Parts: sequence; C-alpha cells; structure tokens
Amino acid sequence: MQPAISNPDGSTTNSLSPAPVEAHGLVKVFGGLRAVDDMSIVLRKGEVLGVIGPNGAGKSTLFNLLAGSVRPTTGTVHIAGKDLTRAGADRRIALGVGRTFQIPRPFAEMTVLENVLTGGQHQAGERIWMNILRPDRVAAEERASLDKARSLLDFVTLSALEGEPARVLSGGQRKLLELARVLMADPQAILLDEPAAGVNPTLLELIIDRLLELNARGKSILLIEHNMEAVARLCGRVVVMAAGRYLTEGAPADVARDPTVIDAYLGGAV
Amino acid sequence: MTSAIVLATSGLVAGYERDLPIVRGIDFSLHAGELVVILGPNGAGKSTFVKAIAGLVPVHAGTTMLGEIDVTALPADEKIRHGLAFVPQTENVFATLSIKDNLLVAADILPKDLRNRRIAEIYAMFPDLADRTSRRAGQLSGGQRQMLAIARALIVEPSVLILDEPSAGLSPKIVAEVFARLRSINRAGVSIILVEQNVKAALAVADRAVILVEGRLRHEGTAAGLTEDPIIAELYLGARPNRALTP
Repeated sequence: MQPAISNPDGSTTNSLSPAPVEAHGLVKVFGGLRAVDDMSIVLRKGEVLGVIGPNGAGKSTLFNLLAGSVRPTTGTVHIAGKDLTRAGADRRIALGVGRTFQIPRPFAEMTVLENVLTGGQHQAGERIWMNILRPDRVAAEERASLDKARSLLDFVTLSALEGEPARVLSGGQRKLLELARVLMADPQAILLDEPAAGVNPTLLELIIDRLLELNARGKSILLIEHNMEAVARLCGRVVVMAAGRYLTEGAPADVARDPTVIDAYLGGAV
Repeated sequence: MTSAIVLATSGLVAGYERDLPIVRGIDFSLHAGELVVILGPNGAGKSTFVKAIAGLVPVHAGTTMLGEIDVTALPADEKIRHGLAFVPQTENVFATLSIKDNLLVAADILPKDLRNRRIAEIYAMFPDLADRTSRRAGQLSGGQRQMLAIARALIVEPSVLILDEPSAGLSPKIVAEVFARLRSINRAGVSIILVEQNVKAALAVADRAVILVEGRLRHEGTAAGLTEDPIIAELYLGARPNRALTP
C-alpha cells in the first residue's frame, strides 16, 4: 500500500511552494495490460528522486505519463501546481519539466550544436512579426542562444564535436547531447530515463558530477536508473516499482537491504 | 593462451564515411573458447569495431579473418553462414512477431530439415522462451527480449558470438542472469566478444579485456591485470582514487 504523500516537513504537497511534478492515482492500460497501476509520486522541490524496479515494471510508462508523451487512463499529473493531466509534452516543457529518453534519437543530419539549439524555448525569432519589427532583438537572442548552447556543450564535454553531424556520436555521447538539449530549455525539473545506460564508467563519473552540480543549482531531478551505485550517489530517496505498482520507497541504502526489493529487482547483484 | 585463433583483425580501418574513420587500424585476435570484453571511453569506436567485423559498417582498410577465411568484404548474412553471429544493442528482435516467428526468421538461413531441430534445441536452452512461444517479442520484458536476441544469434550454431552491450537497460538481477548465461554459452564452446560499459559485471566473466581509445587498441590484458593497474582503472574503468575496482 502506497503511503500518503507528504513533504519531509510533514506539510502536504499542495503547499505554497508546489512540487515541480506531482501525480496521483495514475493508471495506464495498454490493451489488456495495466502498465501503470495506481501509482502516485511526487518530485519535491530541490530533490533527486530515483525510480527503480525490474524490467517491465512500468517505469518508462510512468515517465511518459509525467512528461506528457502518453495520456493516463485515469489519474492526475500536476506540473508546478497546475493540473496538466491532459496537456502534451510541449506545455510541460514550457512549465519547466524537461526529459531525456532511454535511447536518445538526435536529429542525425544536424550538427551537434544545432541539436542543442533546438531545445531553446520562447524565442522571439519563432514569431514572424518579431523578425520584421525587432530584428535587433531576434539577432541578440540568437547570439545569446549560441553562447548558451556552446557553454552547455562545454558543460557536457562535447565542444570539440559541435560542428559534426549528430549521427557520428556514440551512444554515450548522444546521452550527453540530449542532456545539453534539455538544459537549453532551462527546466526546473529534469526527468532522466537511464542516464547511466551505455555510458562508460569514467564518463559516468562526469555525468554524476554534472547532475549533482545541477541539483546544487536548484534543479529537481527524477531519474530511472539500474546502476545502483549511481542511484546511491545521486538520490536522496528512491521509489521502487514492480508490476506497474508502488512497491516501497526509502533511502537508497535502506531500499537495497529490503528483502522484497532484493527478491524482485536486485537479486544477488548487490 | 595457446589455442587456435578463431577471429583476427589486422589493421582494420572502418567508419560510416571514408574521410571520418572511427576505427583507426586495430589488430585484434580472439582465441578458441575465449570470452573477451572490449572496453573504452564513449566514442572510442567499440560498437563501430564490432559492427565492422560483423559486416554492418564499411571497412576502408585492413582484414578480418574468421579462422582461415578472409571475411572482410562479405556481407553480414554471409558472415553468419560462416559462423559469425552478432547481437546488436537495440532493435535486436522483431517486436511485432512472436517468439517462434523471431526464431524462424533467424533459422531461415539453415537448411529446411535443420530448422525445427535447432529451434527445439534453442527452446531446451531457453525454457523461458519455450513457455511463451506465441508471445509477441514487443510484449516481453527487457531481460526476456535480450535472451530472445541471444537465442536468435545462437540458432546458426556460431563459432563466434559478438554482443554489443547486452546489459544496457537491464535490472541488476537480470544482468547477472544474462552474464551467467553468456558464460555457460562460452563454456559450451562458443568464443565471445562482448562490448560492455558494465565493467564490473563484464570483467567478472571475461578471460581477457582490451581497451580501445580513439579508434585504436590501447591496452589489453587479463581482467585482474587491468584492474590492478591504478592508472588504467582510473582512466578507463571508472575507479575513483582510493577506491578499488574489483571484478
């Protein structure tokens, strides 16, 4: 049974400072399969929250429901306090929730830099009349966007590849590119689907450092991850799912000792 | 290692475009019965290297020998006929087909009278697949899907099996099962090349590891030998200072 959700200080989640992401009673049915079955989850402001569970537990579907890629059969999703249950991913990004995918698919023929630039939001140049009436402002914004994209590529150590087409990137480099593209939108909350999968251990150290740095700057992070060492270093709290449902939650070390989690998920691997 | 060489590359140069080689002259050999893991930083060319061996990436120079046969220029399906099987990291099963149909497609390369016998043998090796033979591959869990991908590769009884990150996206419990299964396949006589980022799990089953950096083979040795070198462990294997990396 999933416990009632409250903040660490005991306040409710609908307090003055709304949670970046909050979902209640989510159900998603595909044909005869209840991929997500009565899940509630709250990403608190400023936390790094992990979601773990066996393959097929419904983690990625939960992510899709939170990010707006998939509509729930029942249940609600609030983003920054607003009910966006029926809104698409574009509105959720506009309200500050960005996401990455388990298998990144960059625009293969665009350069690495251009891929990052596609993440920009609310740019004056998107409106035709601004290009006519305020070309100076559009040009200034474009320069600022370029500077920002380059600085993000520097942040994820891809600067040397900025002019290469994205198709030449390896799997791990695509993960980094996707992180940079999401950051281009200035999200307050970031949903990361397996940031460590397919990433070399040395590069993973960099990614962990960068995510901790982003969190220290105030970004809230929700991540699905199978690499328990990364989970332990990043997350203050972990929610465990199995068969579409909430199994348990707690600090990573406590969850890793939980016999039900060991049986369902970890086996003898930890 | 004194056993025969079952696969060798010499000066292999490969990449999607001729003027942008990703693999830049790799000499590598795999001995009979060996399980070798290929490690290295992201972008080092690991996946491109094994795809080039499998015939899925253009080779611009060098050779790939499978035993005594030069298979460099052979298309991927011809390499399979010669006993070289490859399991890609993603899109390695037909999601809309049943388990049985996935195996039948893989078996199509075999003589007709052999197909059903091989599928029966595969089911004996993978009872989990036999239990749900009409289930669509797209409905399988990540672990079951990876087992089906491996089963499809084994149907031709390859002498060399190459896998590109078989543990990616799998839960810790299933990763342990997949690696245990690979070890048993290896002990049954199949030589294996494994590209992996899950260094600990891979080194625990590997006989030998090679490290690629910028398209070149930079280091090789036993799993224990590489992890005991603190510089290699820190630079390429993710060990942090003052923290041992044990296979």
